[in-house]
Amino acid sequence: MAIFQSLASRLSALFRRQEWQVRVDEELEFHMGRETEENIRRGMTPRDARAAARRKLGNTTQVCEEVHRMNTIAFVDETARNVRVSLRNLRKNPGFALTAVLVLALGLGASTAMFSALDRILFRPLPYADADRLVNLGWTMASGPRPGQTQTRLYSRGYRQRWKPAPEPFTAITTIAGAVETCDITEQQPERLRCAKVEDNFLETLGVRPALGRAFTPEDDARGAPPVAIISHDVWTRRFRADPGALGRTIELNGKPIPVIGVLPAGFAVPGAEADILRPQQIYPVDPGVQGGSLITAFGRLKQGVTPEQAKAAIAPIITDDAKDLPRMADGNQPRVVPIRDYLVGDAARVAWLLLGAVAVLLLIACVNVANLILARMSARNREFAVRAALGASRARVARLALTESLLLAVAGGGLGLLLAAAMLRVFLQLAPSSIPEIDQASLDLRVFAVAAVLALAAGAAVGIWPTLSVLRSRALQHGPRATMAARPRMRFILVTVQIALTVALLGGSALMLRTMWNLVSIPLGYQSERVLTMTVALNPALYPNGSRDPFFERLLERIRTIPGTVTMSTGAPPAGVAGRLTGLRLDGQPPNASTMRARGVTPGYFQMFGIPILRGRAFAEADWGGRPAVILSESAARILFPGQDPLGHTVQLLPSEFKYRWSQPADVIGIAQEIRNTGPTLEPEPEIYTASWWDNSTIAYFAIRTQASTAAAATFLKQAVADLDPRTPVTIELLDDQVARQTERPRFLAWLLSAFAGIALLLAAAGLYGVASYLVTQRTRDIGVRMALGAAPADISRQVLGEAGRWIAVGATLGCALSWAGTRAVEAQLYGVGLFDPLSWIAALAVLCATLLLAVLLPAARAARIDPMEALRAD
Amino acid sequence: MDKDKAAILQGTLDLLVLKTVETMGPLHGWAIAKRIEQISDDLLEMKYGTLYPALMRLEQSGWISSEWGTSDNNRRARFYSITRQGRRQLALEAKGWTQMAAFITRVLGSTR
Repeated sequence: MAIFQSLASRLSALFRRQEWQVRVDEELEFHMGRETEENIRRGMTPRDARAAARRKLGNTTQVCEEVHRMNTIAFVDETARNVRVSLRNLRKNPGFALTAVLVLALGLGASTAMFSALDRILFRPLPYADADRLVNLGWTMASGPRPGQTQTRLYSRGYRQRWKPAPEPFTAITTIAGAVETCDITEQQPERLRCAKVEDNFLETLGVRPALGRAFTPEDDARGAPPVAIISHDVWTRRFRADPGALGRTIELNGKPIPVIGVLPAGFAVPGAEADILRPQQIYPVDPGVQGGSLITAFGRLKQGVTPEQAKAAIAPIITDDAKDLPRMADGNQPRVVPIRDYLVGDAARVAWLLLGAVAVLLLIACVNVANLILARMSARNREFAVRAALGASRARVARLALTESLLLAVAGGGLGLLLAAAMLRVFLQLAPSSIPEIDQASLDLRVFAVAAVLALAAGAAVGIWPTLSVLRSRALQHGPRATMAARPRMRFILVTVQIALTVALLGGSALMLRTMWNLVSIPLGYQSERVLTMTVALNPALYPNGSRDPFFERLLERIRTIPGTVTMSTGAPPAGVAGRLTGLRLDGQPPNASTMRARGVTPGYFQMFGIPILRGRAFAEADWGGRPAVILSESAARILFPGQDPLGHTVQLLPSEFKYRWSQPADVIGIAQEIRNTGPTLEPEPEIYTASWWDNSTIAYFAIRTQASTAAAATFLKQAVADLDPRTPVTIELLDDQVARQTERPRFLAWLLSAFAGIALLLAAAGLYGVASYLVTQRTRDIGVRMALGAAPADISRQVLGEAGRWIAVGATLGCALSWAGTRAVEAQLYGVGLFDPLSWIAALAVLCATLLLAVLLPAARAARIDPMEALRAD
Repeated sequence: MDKDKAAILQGTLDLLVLKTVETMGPLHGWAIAKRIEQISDDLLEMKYGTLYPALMRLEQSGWISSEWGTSDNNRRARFYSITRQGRRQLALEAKGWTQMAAFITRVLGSTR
């Protein structure tokens, strides 16, 4: 585009004034030299020659001035004038200006909010050096309870021998032990923090240096070494008031004073976990006699230029070897090497791209809508432009004026959009599924502002292209104002059609997500969640040593029994949200079975509590405690463990494993429970073994009550019951219904958001179509008058308008279907129980579209029918 | 001003420059000035200073481009050459000029 090029060259000239000055000076100097030489050759004295040359050249200062003026003043002047004229024009048309700004603000605001929400997942650099060379190591199970299931961790047992020193093609490998655990600061101002146990080379491998102090050394990581800690920047500022003297001081963790040796840089985050304090793992060397091990999260740094795929092939033998240490893991595990960003974001990236795509479509629709509004005004303004051209303005100049107006609108829209974005972001964060990582940290910062500004300018240019093009092409500038009367609104029809097409894509996507929602909600879960409150109580292991935990829970249970309104109560992890522990099995005293299964310790009331039917045998009774150990199998567990047999009467022994399961006597199978959706509504139920066990010395216990009283009151009682025993113990109380709902929050969020977008898009499309149809009717007033005068009935006229609009809708809808069948592929992964081409969804979407759009043209059609032929013919 | 020499008509300098760089290839400012003077058989009165703003204007419009080079007397000089857009513009302006000239001639002829 020549006009943009010239604009760019002027802008750059504005900022490179010095450069231009030097260039002009040099050129004039050269010219003088050449001319003087020439004059000397003609026989003048050097002095005369130079004077003549100067005379011939004219006033050089003036030349420099001229160039400078051309480059700067003229440009600034013109821009200022354009802005003034545009502002005046917009003020004269407040309706147009307001609509355009609002529509742009809507599109830009939504895009900005979405960008700021998803920036951290998709674009923002990770706080590690060369993060693209960092990978997470794990494996994919080839068989077992869930083939294809991925494990993002390694097994600690053979870790040292197999992974140290780092195998090809890694420069380093480091690990975090187990899960990040809570740890309590027990000095004054006690608080609960999260501690991660890391290998000594952890920070070095991530390419991070402590902001203060030092990283861990191999000596720190040796078994039995004196404990040390590295604290987060946040803890440093909060607890030590950012005092550099914090190094060497101690911090009392779980009752033990531990020296602080380093402070992490601000903005650092342990990959995939939140941790306030780092401590050395100190698990090596492992005594050869000790059995078992634990799972450790491993990260590797790849050598320059090595892809994760290549690394995967290289470490396959090591992974196979690793699997040998997990006797109950099935063979054929495949190594899994994923870039650290993918590890952190997981499949949330898919949702993020889907959301970005949807908001981009919305922004596009907003732009098309505004472009259409501007075009509508253009037909009126062509006259003004023609006059300007007639008075000597160049085409480029008029085009620049037209562009200025669009850019002004976009800047205003962008500014308002930022305010809108702040509000929208708050709503997003409220509704966003918690499974999208880091979304709660989104905020409008400088980076987001920059993106918003670029978006606004791009939108301005996009909506400005149409009027600019139409000025550049317009014949009006050549043939004068009258010529514009015949201008054809073809471009406006095209824009409306595009708008309809894009709207179809959003409507279709939203219809599919709504169907998905419906399918998810109507899946029978196999248990009853109404009026059930669940409570999770976590004891601090430092305050409650072995042996004191079960009595605590026992006393708590006594108190919970007495809560008024309670219909039934039990302990045991609720069926939604908490998975049972994975454990190895020995059946009927035979050698250990290759498979593993989930086990869930429950009390007698559990099955009654959650309304899970016992299909055969019996439920647990109070007598099962203290007596012979007993287990109840889920249907699928029974099928897998005892194929073709009656499981009742057989025994199942849960094996102590790396997951420190302590229940290890052979237990009678006393019943079979109906299958429940224990891993969420969309996943096949996982086989499960219910054991009659108390809390097993665990620090965490789950309680559930079904109440007749208000759930809020019951929650207060529950909290009070814990506080009576120990006010320091944290509790989490939730409605089981909420936990169930959380399992479907992602499709629900998508359905909600896509529907909102589709609604806005539909509104904009309807407004656009209304505008064009009204314009058409106004433009054809004369034609219509003639037809009516010749005997056409008002109904014929309306039908004609409706018919024409119907054709655009049809074209737009067809185009939209084609477009969205390409575009909704992004939704496919989020669908459940409904195909991409689900006819019902698409028919519904199209029906809503057509109904709304036809409604939008009814008014112009009615107006056309009311045209008085006499007046129409007399006008003009 | 010399009575026999015509002042350059407003707006025609661009046309002259474009035509010159089109036919002669890359030229520096002085050579363009000389060439125009030569062609006009010294009938044209021209302050060469005005040439340079014109050159920059043409460059900013994208009709000519320029780069540093070495002149025939071995000095650094800025060489201008016509762009594709420039050729189009030249054709357009030349046509306009011919039409205008024909029109003026006709007017003058008919009123004589």
